[in-house]
Amino acid sequence: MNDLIKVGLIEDQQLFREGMKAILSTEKDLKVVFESADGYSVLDRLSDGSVLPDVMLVDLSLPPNGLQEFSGVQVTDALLYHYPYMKVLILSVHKEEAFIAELIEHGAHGYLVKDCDPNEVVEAIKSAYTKGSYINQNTLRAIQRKMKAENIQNQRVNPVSDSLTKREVEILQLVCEQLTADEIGDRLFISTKTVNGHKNNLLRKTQSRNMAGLVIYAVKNGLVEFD
Amino acid sequence: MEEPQEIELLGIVLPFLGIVFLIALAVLYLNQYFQKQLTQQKVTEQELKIAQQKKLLQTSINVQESERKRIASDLHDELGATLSISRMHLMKLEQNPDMSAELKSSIQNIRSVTESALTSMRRISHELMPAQLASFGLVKTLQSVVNQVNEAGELSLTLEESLGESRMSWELEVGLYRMLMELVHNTIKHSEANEAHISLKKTFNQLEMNYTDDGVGIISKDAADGLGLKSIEARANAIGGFFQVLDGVGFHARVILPT
Repeated sequence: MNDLIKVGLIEDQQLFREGMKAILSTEKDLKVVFESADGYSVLDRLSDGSVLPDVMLVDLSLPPNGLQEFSGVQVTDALLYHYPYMKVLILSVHKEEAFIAELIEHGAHGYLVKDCDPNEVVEAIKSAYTKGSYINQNTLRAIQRKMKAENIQNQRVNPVSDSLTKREVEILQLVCEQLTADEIGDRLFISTKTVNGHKNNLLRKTQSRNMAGLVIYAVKNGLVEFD
Repeated sequence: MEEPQEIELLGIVLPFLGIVFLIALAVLYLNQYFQKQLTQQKVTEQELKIAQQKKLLQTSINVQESERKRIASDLHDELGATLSISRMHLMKLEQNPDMSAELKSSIQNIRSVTESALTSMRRISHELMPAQLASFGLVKTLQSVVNQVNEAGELSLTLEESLGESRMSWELEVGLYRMLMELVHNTIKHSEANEAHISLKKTFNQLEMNYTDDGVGIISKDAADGLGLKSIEARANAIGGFFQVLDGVGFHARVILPT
């Protein structure tokens, strides 16, 4: 006989919570041992109680704790920090890939959309418990698209910036703050001559013709930040 | 005898004339002075009125957007959850092996009704306020708009941006999103364009958004009024920026905003 999988439900919508419990209760090897209508009280209640769910189903949109947001993201972080062996499955109305990818990034072991087949929920719980995760087609696609987007983002950064030394980057940033060579020298405890040497190297390395070109390079490659 | 009389007369008339002249001068000066003050006052009043109107517009946009956001998330969280669980129950019911085929098909019908309700709910909520905008910002939301438009196949839409992960204020993000949606909508509906391009560039203290398409452009003044360009301009003004339509082939609009 299989182990009984202890399941927890964090869901603020009462009808959905009750309904989900009813559906899960028809499964022999699952047992709902924990329920909560919000995210922020979960940690307290888990530390009080004697039962610890193996798999936690977490809704994404949960009520805030006063002014502080406490959505499925915060719940996932908190649960995984305190209970590293617990499996977290997100169960949300949101089917946008950005949400799926974000929650997986935060460590969730699976992401289900609320209008999925109830059998898939059961399957996901069992898979998370026995295999450690449940990744369906949508989740996989969300992760793939996110990886692709990140690759494009990385490629955009000109490879030249790798060959800039740390000092050169430092000087470039100070140039962007409109400091003169003298001031940069004072700031970094080096001579004005050395500063100018670095500046020349920067111009050469970034193939800029003047300081404006350097600034454009710094902006394009995210070496300076504006507030 | 006559001379002293004349002198006496002159002695009376001349000072009298002088006084009259002085009074006239004073009246003239005072009149001008009051006139000037009045116009000054009018100008200040006008300026105040414009500032007040701008603030009013800004407030009403903010109120409208926060209301939209609330309704969108309520729709999603409340109605979405309820419809989803109904659908799950129905599916569970369908899987019951003892059911007659007739009953099973009626249940399937009800299920497809809940499904179309869910689809409508998603569409309405998304039109009110895309959930991604608050959570992930303008760029990511626009990227998924671009994907959606391209998947539909009518228009090839591209996005070029130098913002990356950086976020702007909520007013700017919502404002830009709404303006761009209006522009993309115009392109799809009226322009007969094949391609459109969005570009977002951030410099030291301003954000420049350019939108171009290769369609028919603005044909007449009436057409321009119908395109909602006025509302785009009002929106740009409300967040302290300005909007202009540029000449050229196709359609080209630019929005400059302070950041």
